[in-house]
Amino acid sequence: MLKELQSYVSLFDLPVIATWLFVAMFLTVLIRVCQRSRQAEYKRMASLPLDDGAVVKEDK
Amino acid sequence: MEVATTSEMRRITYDDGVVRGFVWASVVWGAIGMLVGLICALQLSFPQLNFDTPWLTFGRLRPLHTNAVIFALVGNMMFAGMYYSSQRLLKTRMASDLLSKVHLWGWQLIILGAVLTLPFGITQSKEYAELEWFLDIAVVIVWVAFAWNFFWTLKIRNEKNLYVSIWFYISTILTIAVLYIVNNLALPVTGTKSIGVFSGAQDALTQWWYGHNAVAFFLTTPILGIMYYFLPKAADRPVFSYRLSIVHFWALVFIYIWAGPHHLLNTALPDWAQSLGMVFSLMLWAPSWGGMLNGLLTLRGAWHKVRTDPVLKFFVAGVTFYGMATFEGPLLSIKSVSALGHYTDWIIGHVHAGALGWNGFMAAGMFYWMVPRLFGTKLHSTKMADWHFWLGMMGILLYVGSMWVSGISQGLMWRAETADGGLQYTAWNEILDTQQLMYVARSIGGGVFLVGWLLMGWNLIATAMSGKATNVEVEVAVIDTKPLPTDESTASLVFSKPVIICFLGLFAATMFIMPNIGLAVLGFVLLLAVVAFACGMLFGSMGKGKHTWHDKIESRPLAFSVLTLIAVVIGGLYELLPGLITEKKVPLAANGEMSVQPYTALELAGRDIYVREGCYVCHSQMIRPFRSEQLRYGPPSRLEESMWDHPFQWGSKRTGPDLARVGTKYSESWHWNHMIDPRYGAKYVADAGLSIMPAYPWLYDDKVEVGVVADKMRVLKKLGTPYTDEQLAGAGEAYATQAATTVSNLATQGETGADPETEIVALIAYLMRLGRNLEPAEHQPVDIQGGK
Repeated sequence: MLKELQSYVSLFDLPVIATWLFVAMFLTVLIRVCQRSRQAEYKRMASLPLDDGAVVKEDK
Repeated sequence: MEVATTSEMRRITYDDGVVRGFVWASVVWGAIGMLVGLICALQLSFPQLNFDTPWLTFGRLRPLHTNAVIFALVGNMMFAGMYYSSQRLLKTRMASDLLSKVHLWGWQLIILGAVLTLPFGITQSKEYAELEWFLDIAVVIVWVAFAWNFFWTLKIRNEKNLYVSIWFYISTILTIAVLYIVNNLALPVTGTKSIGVFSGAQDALTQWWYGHNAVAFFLTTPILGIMYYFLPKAADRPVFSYRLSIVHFWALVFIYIWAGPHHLLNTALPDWAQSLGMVFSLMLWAPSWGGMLNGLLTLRGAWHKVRTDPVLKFFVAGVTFYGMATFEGPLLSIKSVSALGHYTDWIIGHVHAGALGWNGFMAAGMFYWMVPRLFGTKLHSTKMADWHFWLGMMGILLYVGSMWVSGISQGLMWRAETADGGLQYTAWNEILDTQQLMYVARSIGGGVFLVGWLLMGWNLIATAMSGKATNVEVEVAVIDTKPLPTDESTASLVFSKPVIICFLGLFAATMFIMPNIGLAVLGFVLLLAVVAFACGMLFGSMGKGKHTWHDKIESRPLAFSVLTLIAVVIGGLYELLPGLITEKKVPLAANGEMSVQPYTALELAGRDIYVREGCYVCHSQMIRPFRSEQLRYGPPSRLEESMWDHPFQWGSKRTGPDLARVGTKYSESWHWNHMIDPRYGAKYVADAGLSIMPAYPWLYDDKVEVGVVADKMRVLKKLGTPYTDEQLAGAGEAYATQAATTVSNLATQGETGADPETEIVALIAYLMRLGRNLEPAEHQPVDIQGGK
């Protein structure tokens, strides 16, 4: 099977295919990142810096 | 994973005293560091400003400038941001006030140590790792105190999930520890001198693995953590995409570590290492720009605030400079672009776009936001802050623009040829002279930036004086974070499906790049399967109410830290291990002798003077395989030629010409005259009338401690340099004999009265040795690029 595969692919084709593979993975991640699922959970996490709590006392 | 959800209200008083300490330290050291940088810049236009004084010369001041800006300005700034934001994100006070103080004051003492050693020539000569062994130990102790305090604080935190800023801080603390320790491994010879364990190409690779990742994990990741905390605060909006920040983090920490060899493109470093560095540098474009866009898009709906709020102005410009610098970095990592840009001022421009634009502006934005809150008052003058912004912006543009022009024209002039195939610009100073206008512009740009920084200092002091240091007590809702018995263990998280898939992917990619078609095809098929599986997993985790793998590790600091360390260490192992396990072999010359002999006692003493004076700051010792370089300097450098160099001296900048084969070019008396009077000694330096090199008059009076040279040889022998016992026993005698020969040669050439014990004699002996190695018997000529 390996030999059969080798007969179809030359050494120079592999980097080109690998680049497309990289692009495919990149696009998958991009699409996943842009999806709006689980918004509520992520919203709480994203808002952590804005949650300072109530100031009780400011010692000067 | 399930967690208890009982919540209660808790009162917390944050330790902001340590934050204030780091803020002031950053402002003050930053001004000093930039002032030293300005002096260095002016010395390139007015070499008289070296004042013929050892501790004021460019070669000694430049390391002080870089160390001060990196470790003092940015270091203190990032610690201020980390202490401020970590306490608030983890909803707890730092675990130990004592450790915080040890960190604050210990760090300042180390910086003071740098000020008291670097200008006096006490240096390891490895860029950004110049501090000698006793200061390295201090750095490790202080860093451990910092790490201990930070991870202890993580343990006692009152917030279940770790926000993205904390991830970046974890990666910084762990990675810097690994990088710093490995790159600074050395054996002390005296109280102020050590010899690094690595040499030649191995040292070059280790150094730039460290140097590049000092930029990544000291100047970038902590500042990204700061961006993810302070930008949403200043814009009063949550970060644009939390999910993107996950991708940004993991992609960045994994890829960054591999990119180090892009500092060594077209050198004698093996091709596989160069290609690895280039490919990973190009891949860095994606996560870097993902992070930049995430930062800028956080301002969606708040752009109108940028007009009036100086904090947002600085943040927006800072993040934009980050985008620009992280575009330019990969661009410069392409071999053919590097061929033009490397060793030129273009690199200096690139570095300053990042340092002034990204680090400087992010620091300013953070200080303007933080200081009024730390002193319970308002900013003293918004107008002054606006002035600072525009002065800073003008300064950066002037600086970076002039260095682009200067750098690209240098690169072009170095390679320019006449119609008959000779070099068009043969005299180095003819090229240097054309850059002078740009050097003046650079000094003005740096000066204007410094004025803006001083304005900020004044504004912040006035702000502090109008208020009073405050200690804020807040009441926060705390969710009980005690794990339930059903929680997965740390080990099961570390060895979970996503991690195994990543390892399989790495394994497949490794097979794919092997120089064997069978392995490559197998690797490719495996890679295809891994990518398909990973894509499926990414979309399979979309179900509502189901905790994703990342949710789980976000609340488990130990698992998170272990995985971060693994992601970071992999790249280092791939790059460094082959060099470390390969046996050092010296190729033999046709006469059966080693083609590269270890340095003699006198040459070794001269080499240490070369290191002490920071000659590597302006001179490379690495001739690249280009026709123009061969015409100018001689045959390309070979890997083995620097194999006894602890540390390597390949350099990273050519303000002066390459010196790899200077020993074959000039006589002893040429060096004698050049070192004392590089500009006006018309007798021997007719083509160097406009040299901007400092003079080194003290070398003609100061004497070498010959006794120490034998100690150095003993340490070098321990590290693998093939000195014989006879050579060690007769080091003093051999020193005297060779020094007498050098003095005699000088006298024959008309320079009488040289004292054989003086430093100049040793330095001349070292310079005369450069490039005088034997040709290996089985030497394969290197392909010369750009041939006609």
